[in-house]
Amino acid sequence: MNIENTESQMRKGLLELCILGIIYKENEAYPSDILEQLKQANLIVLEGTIYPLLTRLKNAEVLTYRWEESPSGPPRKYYSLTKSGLEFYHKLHESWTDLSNAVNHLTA
Amino acid sequence: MQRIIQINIAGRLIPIEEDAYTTLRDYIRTLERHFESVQGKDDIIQDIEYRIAELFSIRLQSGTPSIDSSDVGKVIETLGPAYTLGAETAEPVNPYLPGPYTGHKSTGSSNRRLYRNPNDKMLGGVCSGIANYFDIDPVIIRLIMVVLFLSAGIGLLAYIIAWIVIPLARTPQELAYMSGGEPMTFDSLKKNMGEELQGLKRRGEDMSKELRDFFSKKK
Repeated sequence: MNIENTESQMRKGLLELCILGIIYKENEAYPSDILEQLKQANLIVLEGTIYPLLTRLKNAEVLTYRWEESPSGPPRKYYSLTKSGLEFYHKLHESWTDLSNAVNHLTA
Repeated sequence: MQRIIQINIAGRLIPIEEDAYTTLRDYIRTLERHFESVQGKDDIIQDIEYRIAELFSIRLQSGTPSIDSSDVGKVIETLGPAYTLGAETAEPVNPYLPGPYTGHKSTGSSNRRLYRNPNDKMLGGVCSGIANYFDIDPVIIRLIMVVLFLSAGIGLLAYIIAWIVIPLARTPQELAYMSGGEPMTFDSLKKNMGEELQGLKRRGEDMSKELRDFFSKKK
């Protein structure tokens, strides 16, 4: 049994919630910000995995973005939650709380 | 000796060694192929290019005159090879999304299935089942069937085969599937044919299993 594989599956499943959580807390975030925080929390290894997710959430109208010039690099896409995205995030967060309680209870 | 070229990535002018450029170009092409069938492919590639440009800018600000192969190698390592990135956007939109997004999931037409209709039948309910499927008057199908019966005799055989092959709608859910949703279009019909064939295969397998069980018990 490969423990790394199982761990990475767990992290992958929670990535979406974590991305939304970061954006929710920051109000607005650009991908490199999000990546920085995810990396610190050990939730992501390969940066590339975040982009298909962001695009999917944007296409589902959970997220929206605006461009902003950057002083040092290329322009940045700042992502924020839409109104229904906010609702989506709250529901997802609620499910996560329930789930983690249940799991903690079962594995305690 | 290396030639240094200038490339424009995400609107930034980046000096890069030629070898490194070739590697980078191949990487982006692999990504493009990887996300080929994904909705929002251009956005994903654009985002990744912006990230690459950003990482290069950081590298150039640290004082290096141009990007070389090892820089590109590091960037690719950071982002991850294409096959690890998972074409996630190909998945359907999350079903528990609130508001307008749930709507696109079930519009009925693709849910319609072919059943024999127990509520309106002359013999086995084949004709009225077919009529339901195409949303036309069963009388028309019956007339066609009668003509086929009389003209060649194929009609009778076809009817019997259809009787055997098409399942009777028993549960309310099956009845709903039989007549639910919108009339079939050619595309959804094609799609459903596949599903029907799957079901037929399953029924065949079930049947042969039952027969096997039956005979093995006899021995």
